[in-house]
Amino acid sequence: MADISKYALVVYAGAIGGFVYAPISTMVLFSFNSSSRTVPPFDGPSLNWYNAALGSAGIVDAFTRSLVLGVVTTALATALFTLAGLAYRRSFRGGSFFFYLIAVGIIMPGITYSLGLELFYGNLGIPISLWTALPAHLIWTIPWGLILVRATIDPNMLVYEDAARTLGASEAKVMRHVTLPLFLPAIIGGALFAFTLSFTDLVRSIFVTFPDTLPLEIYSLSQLRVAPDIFAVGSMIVIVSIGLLLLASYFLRGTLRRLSL
Amino acid sequence: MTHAVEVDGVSKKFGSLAAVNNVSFNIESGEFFCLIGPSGSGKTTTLRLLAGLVQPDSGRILIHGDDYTHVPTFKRPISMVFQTWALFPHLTVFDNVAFGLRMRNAPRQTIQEEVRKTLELVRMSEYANRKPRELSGGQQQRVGIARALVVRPDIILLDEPLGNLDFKLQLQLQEELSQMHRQLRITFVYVTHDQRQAMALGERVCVMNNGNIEQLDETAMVYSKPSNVFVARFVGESNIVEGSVKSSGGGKNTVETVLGSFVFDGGSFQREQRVWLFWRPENTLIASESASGDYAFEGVVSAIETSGQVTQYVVDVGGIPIRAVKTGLPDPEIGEKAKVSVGVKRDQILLLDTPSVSETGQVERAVLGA
Amino acid sequence: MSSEQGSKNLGSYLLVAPTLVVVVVFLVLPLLLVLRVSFLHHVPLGYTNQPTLENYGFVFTNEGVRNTLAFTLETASIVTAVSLLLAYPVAYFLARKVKSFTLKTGFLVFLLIPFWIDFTTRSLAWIPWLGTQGIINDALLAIGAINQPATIFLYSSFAMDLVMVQAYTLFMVAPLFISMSKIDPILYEAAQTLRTFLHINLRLTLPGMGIGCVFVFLSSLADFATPKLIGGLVTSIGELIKDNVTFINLPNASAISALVVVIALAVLVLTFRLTHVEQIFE
Repeated sequence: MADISKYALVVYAGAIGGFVYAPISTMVLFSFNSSSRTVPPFDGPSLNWYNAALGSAGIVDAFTRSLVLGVVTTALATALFTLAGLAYRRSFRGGSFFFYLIAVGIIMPGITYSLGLELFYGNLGIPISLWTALPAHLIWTIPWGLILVRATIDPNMLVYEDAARTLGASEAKVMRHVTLPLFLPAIIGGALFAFTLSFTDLVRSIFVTFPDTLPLEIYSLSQLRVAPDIFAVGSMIVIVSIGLLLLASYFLRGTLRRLSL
Repeated sequence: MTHAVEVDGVSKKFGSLAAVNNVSFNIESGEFFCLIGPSGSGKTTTLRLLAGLVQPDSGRILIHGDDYTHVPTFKRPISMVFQTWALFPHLTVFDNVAFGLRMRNAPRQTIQEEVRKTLELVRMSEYANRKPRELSGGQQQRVGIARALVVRPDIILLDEPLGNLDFKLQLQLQEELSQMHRQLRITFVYVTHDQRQAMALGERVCVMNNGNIEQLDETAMVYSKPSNVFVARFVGESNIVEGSVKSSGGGKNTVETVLGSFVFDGGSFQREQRVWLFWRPENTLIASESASGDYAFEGVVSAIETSGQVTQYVVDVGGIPIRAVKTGLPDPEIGEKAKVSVGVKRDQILLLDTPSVSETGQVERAVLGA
Repeated sequence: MSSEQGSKNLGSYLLVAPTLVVVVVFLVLPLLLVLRVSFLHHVPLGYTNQPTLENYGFVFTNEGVRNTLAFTLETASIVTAVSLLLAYPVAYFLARKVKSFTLKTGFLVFLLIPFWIDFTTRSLAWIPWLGTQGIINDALLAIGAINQPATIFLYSSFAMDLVMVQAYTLFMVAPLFISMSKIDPILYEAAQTLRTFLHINLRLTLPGMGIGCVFVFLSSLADFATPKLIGGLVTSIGELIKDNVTFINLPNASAISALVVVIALAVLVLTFRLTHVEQIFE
C-alpha cells in the first residue's frame, strides 16, 4: 500500500514538474526556430534569434541592469533579513507587530505599491532611475527571507548558544560557530529567493524604473509582437541558470553533505 | 580554606517574581552538591547564575575565592550539561566534544587525544563521526557529559541531565555519573526535582523552595532530620500529622492531634503553637491488630502498591493518610479495605515547628490533603 | 523588567531596526501617500489639494470597476484553490517521501529555475501550446476529438488561470513544504485510517497553507500582465489602476488602489489568524 502511494506521488510530482516545464521546453525549442513562428510546426534549427537577442542593445543593456540590480538587492536583502532573523531568536515586545508590518511588503499589490513609490519620489523630487527600483525590490524580498529564517530556525537555538558560552565561546564566537551555521540554509534559501524575485519582477518595478530592467523591456517588446528572440533570451537564462546550479552543486558538494539536515 | 563556590546574598528577580531570594551557601572542592526543589523553586536559576548565563540583581558569586559575579560565562572555569542535551546539530559527535578545546585554541594533537580519551570514558568512541540526530537520548547525554568534561573544568554544572530519559536509563547514567565523580573528583553541582536522584548521588543537598533555601545539609541529615515540613514532604515519602501544643514545661511537651495526644521530651514551645509530627513510612509498624510501637492507631487500608521489592500501604486513620513501607510482596493478611493497626515508636517521631522557610499557605494545605 | 531583559530587548530592536527603517520609509510612507492622493481632486494631468470623496464615489458606484473587481477576485480565488490542490501532493511528496536532503533541495531548485525567466516570457511561452495552431489543438485534431481548432485555450479566462497557476505553484509548494517538514513523523505512524491521516495533515499544515494562499491570492489579485498577455479581452483591477496612471488620473488610481489594499490587508489578517500562522515559527 505504501509503495503504491509513493510511486503515485513520484508520477504526480513528475507531472507537475512537466506542467511547469512544458512551456519552457517549447520555448527553448522555438528559440532555435529558423522562421519567426512561435507555434508548430517547427521550421528547422537556426541561431538567428540568439544573434538578434544578443545583438539588440536594448535587451543586453536591460539584462545587465536586471542582473546588477538583482545582485545588489540580494546582498542588501540578505543582510537585512539575516539581522532581523537574529532578532527573532527570542521573543521581544512588539515582535509580532513588527513582523506583520514587514510582511505587508509581500502582500501589498505590486501596482499599488509602485504607484505609491512613484508619488514618494515625485514629492521628494527624486528622478526615476534604475536604483529607484531598489527599495521596491527590497520591500518584497526581505519578508520572504525573514519568513524562511523564522520558520526554519531550531527552536533550541538559544540553548545551543548557552551551551557554547559554557564551553568558552565569546559572543563573537558563538555567532560564528553556532548561530550563523545553523542559520545558513535559511539564509541561502532566502538569498536565492530574493534574487529570483528581483531579477524577474515586473509589477513592482513598472513605474519606478527607468531605463527598463529586463522584464520591463520584454514586456514592452511583447506588446509589439511575439517573436522567438524573446524566447532566445528566456532560453539563455534557463541554460545559464542550470549550468550555474550544476557548477555550484559540484563545487559545494562537500559542504552540502556536511550540512545535510 | 577557600570554597570552590561561594554564593553570597544573591537575588534575582524576573519581572515581579523573586526567582532567587537573598540566597547564600558554599560548595566545597570536589564535592557532589545537589540543588533540589519543585518547579519554580529557583534551583535552575541558581545554577544559571553560577554559570553566568544570568546576572544577579544583588549579591556576589565567588569561585575559588575570586569574584566572578560580573564575569561573562565564557571566562568562568565551569562547564555545563543540559537537560535537553543541547548538542550542536550541525557538528559530529567528535566536533561537539572538541568544541570547548577548539574555543580555547588547543593544539590539534591535544584535541585528538583528549577527545578520544573522553569519548572512551563515556563509551561513545564508535559514534565519533555520527551526527547528534542519529543518536538516542541516552547516547546524546553521554556526549553532552563528555563535551563538558573534556575541558577539565573546575566545576561542572548539571541541569536535570537525566530528566529526558526513561527510568532504567536514568538509573544507569546515574551510576555512571557517580563513578565519574569518584574518579575525577571534580566539583559537581547537580540540579534536579527528583529527590531520589539527589539522595543517590549527592553528598550534600540544598533544598530550595520559592527562591529560598529550606535546608542545606548532608543528604542523610536532610532525609532523617528535615528542618521543616516542606523539606520533610519533599524529600521522600513522609507521614505528617498536624497538632497544637497543649502544654509545655519542665522538658516535657504534650501535643494534641486528631490522632490523640503525643508526649515529647526536650525543646520548649508556646501553648497553642502549631506543630507537626513527622516520621518516615519505613518506621511505621503495621499489623492486622495491635501494632507495636509507643503509639498505635486503628485505621482502614485505602491503598496498597507493590513493586515486588517493596510494598507501600496507605492507611486511613480518622481521615489522615498514614503510610507504611515494608520489603517484599504484600502481607496476605492485609488487604485493601482491611482494618489494621499502625504504630510508631516515640523516638522515630520528629516534631517540626515550621511549615517552610517560604511560609506559603500551600504547604499547610498539602499536609492535610494528600 | 530587569535591566538584563531590557538589554536583551534592546539587542533585538537594534537587529530589526535596519529592516524597519527600510519598511517604514519605503513602504508605509508611499502607501500613506497613495491614501492621501485618493482623497484629492483630479484635474487633467494632475490633482489639486482639494479633499474630496469623489474618487471613492466613482470606485464604489461605477459598474465597470465593480465588475472588474469581481472578476479579478474570482480569478484570484480560482487560481489559489487550484494551485493549492496541485501543490499539496508535491509538497507532501517532498517532505515525507523524499529522504535525501540533496534531492529535496534539488527538486525545489528545479521548480525555481523557470522563475528566473521573466514573467512575460513565461506567459508567452504558453502560446505554442494553447494557440489555435498550438500543440494541444493539433493533438486534439489529430485524434478527432474536435473538428476545428478550439479558441478556448488561449486568450481566455481559462488560459489566464492556467498560466497563473503555473506561475505561482512554487510559492504555494514552498510554504507547504516547510510546514509539512515540521510535522513530527510519529504523528503519521499514529494515524491508522485515511481519514485521520488527512485530518492530521490538514490541521497541521494550516499555517503553511495560510502563507501560500495569501501570497498566491494577493499576487493574482494584483497581476495585470497575465490577463493582458493571455487573457484576451478580459481586464483586471491591476490593469485599471495602471490605465488610470497612464492617463494621469492619479486620484482615481489611488482610490482603486486603496480599495485593493484594504481587501489585501483584510485577507492577510483573516487568513493568518484563521490558520494560526504563528505556529509555523515554533
